[in-house]
Amino acid sequence: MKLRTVGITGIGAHVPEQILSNADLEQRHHVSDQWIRRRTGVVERRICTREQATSDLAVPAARQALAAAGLRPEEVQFIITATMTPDHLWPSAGSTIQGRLGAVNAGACDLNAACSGFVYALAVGTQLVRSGLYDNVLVIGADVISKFVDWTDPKTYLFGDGAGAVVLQPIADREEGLIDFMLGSDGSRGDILQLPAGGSRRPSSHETLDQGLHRPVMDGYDTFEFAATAVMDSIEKVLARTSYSIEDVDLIVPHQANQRLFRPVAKWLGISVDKFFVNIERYGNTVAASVPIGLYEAVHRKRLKKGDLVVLTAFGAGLTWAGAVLRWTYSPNDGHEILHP
Amino acid sequence: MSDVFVRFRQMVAAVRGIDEDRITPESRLVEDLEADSIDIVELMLDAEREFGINIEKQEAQSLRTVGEIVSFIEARLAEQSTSS
Repeated sequence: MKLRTVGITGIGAHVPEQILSNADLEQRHHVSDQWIRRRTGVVERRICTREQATSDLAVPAARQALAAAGLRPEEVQFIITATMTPDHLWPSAGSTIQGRLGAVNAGACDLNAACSGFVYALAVGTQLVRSGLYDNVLVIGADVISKFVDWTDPKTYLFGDGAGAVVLQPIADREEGLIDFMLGSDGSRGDILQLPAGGSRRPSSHETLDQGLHRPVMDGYDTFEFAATAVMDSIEKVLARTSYSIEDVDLIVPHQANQRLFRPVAKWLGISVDKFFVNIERYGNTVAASVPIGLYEAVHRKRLKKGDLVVLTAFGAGLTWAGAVLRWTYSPNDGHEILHP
Repeated sequence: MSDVFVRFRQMVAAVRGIDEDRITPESRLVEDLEADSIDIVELMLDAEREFGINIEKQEAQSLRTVGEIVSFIEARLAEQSTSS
C-alpha cells in the first residue's frame, strides 16, 4: 500500500473579544506591567466571558478552516480536538464541536497532551490521511485555561484563551506537506505541572475546593528548565528524522509559553532568534491553541508562504513535548482577515 | 582569574546584557546584577552545556555569587576528572 502525502489545506483561528491587558491586571492586583512584560513578554491576552467555553472558540476557528479548504461540514470524516479544558469532562469537546458544526459524517474525539496537544493531534490526523483511511480530517487546538487559573497568582499572567484549526487532506507528493514528527513524554516528572483535583484520583469535593486543589501547580524553575530542554530536544530530534538541517528551516512556530525561552534556545541552536515566530505579546500562552494561532498569524502576516520549510515545537504538562517538520502548502485567498491587526 | 571564571563571566554578561567589567567574583546575581529567576535558569543551562556538567535545582538555588558558582563548577569538573 502506498502511503499518501498529506498537507494543511485550510487554517482558521479564533480568540475571545474580551481583552485582559497588563494595565487591567495592574489595577486589580499588586503587579506592574513592566514586571509581567519582563518575565513573560505578554502585554495582553484574550479571556472568555463567564458564559463562553472551549467549543465556542473552536467552532468558529473550525468553520474558518473548512471555508479556507473549500469543504462543507458534512464532508469532514474525522475531528481530533487537542484540549485539556473541554466544555465538560465528558462528552469530549470533539463531539461537542462535531455536533455544532453539523459534521454529521465525522467521527470525533479529544486528545490531551496539554500544550503539546496540537502537534500530537497533527501527528495522529496526518497518519489517518496518509494511510488512506480518510481524505478530510479536521485538527483543532483549543483551550480556555482562564477558567482554571487563579488570577491572584502572578504565574498565571502568562495565560490566555484561544482556538485554532487546520484541515488535512492528501496532496501531490512533490509538495511534501507534513514530513515528520517526534512525540515525547516523561510522566515521571508529571507533578511539576499539574491540576491536582477534579479527576478520578481526587474528585471535586468541598475539601478539594477548600484546599485550593483546583488551581494549577507550576514550579517556575523546573518548568522553565524543562521547556528550554524540550524545545531543543524536539527541534533536533524531529530534524534528525528528515533530510533537513536547522539551516534549511525558514520559520519555527513554537508553543508560545514564554517569550524568554527563545533567546537561549536560538543561542544553543546557533540561529537568529528571529527564526522563531512570536505573538505571545497579544495572546499569552493559549495552551493547545498557541501553535495553530501562531501558524495562522504567520501566514496572514506573510511570515510564512507556500514552499517554506517550517518546524513546529511544543511542550507542556505530562510532561509532553513534540516537534513537526512540514513544507507549507497553503496560501490564503483574499478575504481572510488577520486575527487582530 | 581562572578560565572557568572568564568563561562564566562572558555568559553572565550576555544573559544580563551588561559589560563584563561590572562582574566580579563577589557580584551577587540577584542583588547586584539584577538577574531574575529565569536568567538564573538560563545561566545554569548555559553552564551545563558549556562545561558538560549537571547542576541540580537545589544546588543552583543555593549559589548566590558569581564566585560561588565558579567554585561549584570547578569542583564538579574536578570530580569528573578524578572519577573518569
